[in-house]
Amino acid sequence: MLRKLFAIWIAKSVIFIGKILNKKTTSMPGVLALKICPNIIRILSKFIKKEIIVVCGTNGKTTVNNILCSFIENYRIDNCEKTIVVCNKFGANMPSGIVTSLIEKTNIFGKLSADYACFEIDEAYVTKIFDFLTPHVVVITNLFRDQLDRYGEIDSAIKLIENALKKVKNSKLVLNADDPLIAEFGLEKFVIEKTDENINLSEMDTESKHVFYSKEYSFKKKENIYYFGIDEKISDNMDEVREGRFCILCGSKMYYEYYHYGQLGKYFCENCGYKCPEIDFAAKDIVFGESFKINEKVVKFLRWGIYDIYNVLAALSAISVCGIQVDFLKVHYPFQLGRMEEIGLNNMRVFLNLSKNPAGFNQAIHTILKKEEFKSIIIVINDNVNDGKDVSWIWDVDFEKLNNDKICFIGVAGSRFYDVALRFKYSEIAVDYFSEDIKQTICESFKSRAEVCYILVNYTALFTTRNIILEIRNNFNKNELKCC
Amino acid sequence: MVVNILHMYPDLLNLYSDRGNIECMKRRLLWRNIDANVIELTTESENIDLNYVDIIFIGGGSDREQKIVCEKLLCIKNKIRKYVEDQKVLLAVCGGYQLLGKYYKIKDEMLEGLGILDIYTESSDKRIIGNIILENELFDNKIVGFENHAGRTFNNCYKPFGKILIGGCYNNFEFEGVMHENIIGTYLHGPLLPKNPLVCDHLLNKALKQKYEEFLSLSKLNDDLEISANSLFCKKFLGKRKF
Ligand SMILES: [Zn+2]
Repeated sequence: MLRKLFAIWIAKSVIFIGKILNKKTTSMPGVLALKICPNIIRILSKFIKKEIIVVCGTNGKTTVNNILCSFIENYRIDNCEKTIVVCNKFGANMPSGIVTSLIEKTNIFGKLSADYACFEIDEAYVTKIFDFLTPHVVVITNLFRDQLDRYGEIDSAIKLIENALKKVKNSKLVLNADDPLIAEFGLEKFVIEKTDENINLSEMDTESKHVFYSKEYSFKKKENIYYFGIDEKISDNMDEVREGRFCILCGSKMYYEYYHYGQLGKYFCENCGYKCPEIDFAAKDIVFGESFKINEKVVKFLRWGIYDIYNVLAALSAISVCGIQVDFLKVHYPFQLGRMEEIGLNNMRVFLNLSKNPAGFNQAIHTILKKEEFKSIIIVINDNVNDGKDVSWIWDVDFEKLNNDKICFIGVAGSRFYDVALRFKYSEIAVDYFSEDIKQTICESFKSRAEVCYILVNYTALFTTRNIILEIRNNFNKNELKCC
Repeated sequence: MVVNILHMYPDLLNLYSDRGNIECMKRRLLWRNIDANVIELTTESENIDLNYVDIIFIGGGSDREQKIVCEKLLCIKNKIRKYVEDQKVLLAVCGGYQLLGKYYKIKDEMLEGLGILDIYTESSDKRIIGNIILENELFDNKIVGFENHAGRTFNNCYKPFGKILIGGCYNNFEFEGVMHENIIGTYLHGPLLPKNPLVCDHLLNKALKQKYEEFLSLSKLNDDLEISANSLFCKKFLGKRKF
């Protein structure tokens, strides 16, 4: 007990000092509190009066979690004035970040008062955290190849989540039906023994002999499973690496009626029968920049990316599963740093977008190319620890699509600028300027005739790049027309 | 002149952006006005005639994907054997490298390899992950890349691909990979060739010499960008090395 209080006090003081120094402390207080009282997540999460929702998956965690949080905050329980939600809003998705967000809502006597909690949790920590935290609802957005050098391979990410889910058997799962790597978590398999006379191995020549499977499955949705998905074809097929091209259950090739991006779509396996399960929350009638429908309910939708649909859909599905009644016409898009964030500079509009993996980059490129204006594009790639030191994934991004006559400048910067420059060279796309220096590269882009500048960055490049843009803006405002 | 490059199972073995290696070989031929023809052998391909192939590239995949490829490869084992005996060029990275050997032991499971090289691989719980730099006297520049693998490959018979300057972190391995006749097997991806143009040209050179008696040598390309990338990489990571 004393340990717990001590942990809370220490963490609270660090948060307080951070506030004085005007520094965001999202993880340090939690790191300290966990050292003092490893059990602190369990102790504090017991105080949450209603549901605890956890969001996992590769892309969109932060957005989904923030949409969830702002919806719930605006929801009035029994006409009470305020709904308090604990939320690790800033994407601090390791145990320390969760502890920090809990302690922020705890008073100095160790009592936490909150109605709901929404946490985004990194796949690598979810198993560990579920030892201390029992969520009512777990949302899984998608699984893409991300920061490979941290987890090994996508298969290990699947295993991590699978193991974690075993610990929370009573939780409701809200799963992306369109992701073959995820939908399977909610299905029970029954093996049907096949007596197949069609296949006679001895008659086949050895050269073309494939692996044959004599078993087929039938599937049944497990209890407490809810699927969301996009129930119509929306995009032209884009060529990119699809992680789930081979059936996760039997290894044979997966077929798609259509797919949206990455491996997400209407898939089926002819061999074993695995296919996109029936959807409980289906998005349809999608009009980008206007609206779409979830089970005939209209959702206001002022965004342009397919991933935006998934984010809103995942959040609203989870909210519906919790039984929270909200107005779908009032989707709050929480402001997020670097998610197609617009920063105006005199005559130039700059958009800053963070992508952490090929799927994210391809989506960003796809979204950018939808717009008609003359634009410059700058790619900033760093290889700091938080980015994953391996940058080979840049070869899986469809940079070839940037061979477009509306693009009048391509710049490359960041600590791995050479890797990106080579990536472009071997695709025979001309790079107008490359340098480790981000500021210089941005300034060079202003010399082109572009009206808009899109800067696509990876994780640790985000804050540096953002600060540089703000600095340039300040200089503009001070009427120093020279940018560098 | 034309070089036919066979990319083996790009639909399965594409884990570490191996297509960068294919792109690199292709462009460096085209830039020299030599035709390049890339053939993809996929899991759906019916039959393959290796007589027309000058360079084989095989990359890496997850253990699950590798098992599928292994079955497929064993079916054309004899063809690949003959291809290698004909002194033709083969580049194998990561999983592909492991499959060239006698076996790959994953925990209790034995995956039979092609047995083209007298090497073997055993998986370990600890993955080796990180930047890696090699030195090989054949090349003026260091060989740079990234490695990420659970397998430990034991090469007791052949020349290595290079002496490890940094990398192979959890081991006391001194050398990396295999360079035997016209085969290179290595764990380096990233992809390997764009930052190591000399290695790429070495393979192209071998392939052309093998195919065309009259072929003398490759013309020089402007490799400033590649060499700068390579040098900066070495400066950054070799600089930190403790001697
Ligand atoms: Zn299947």
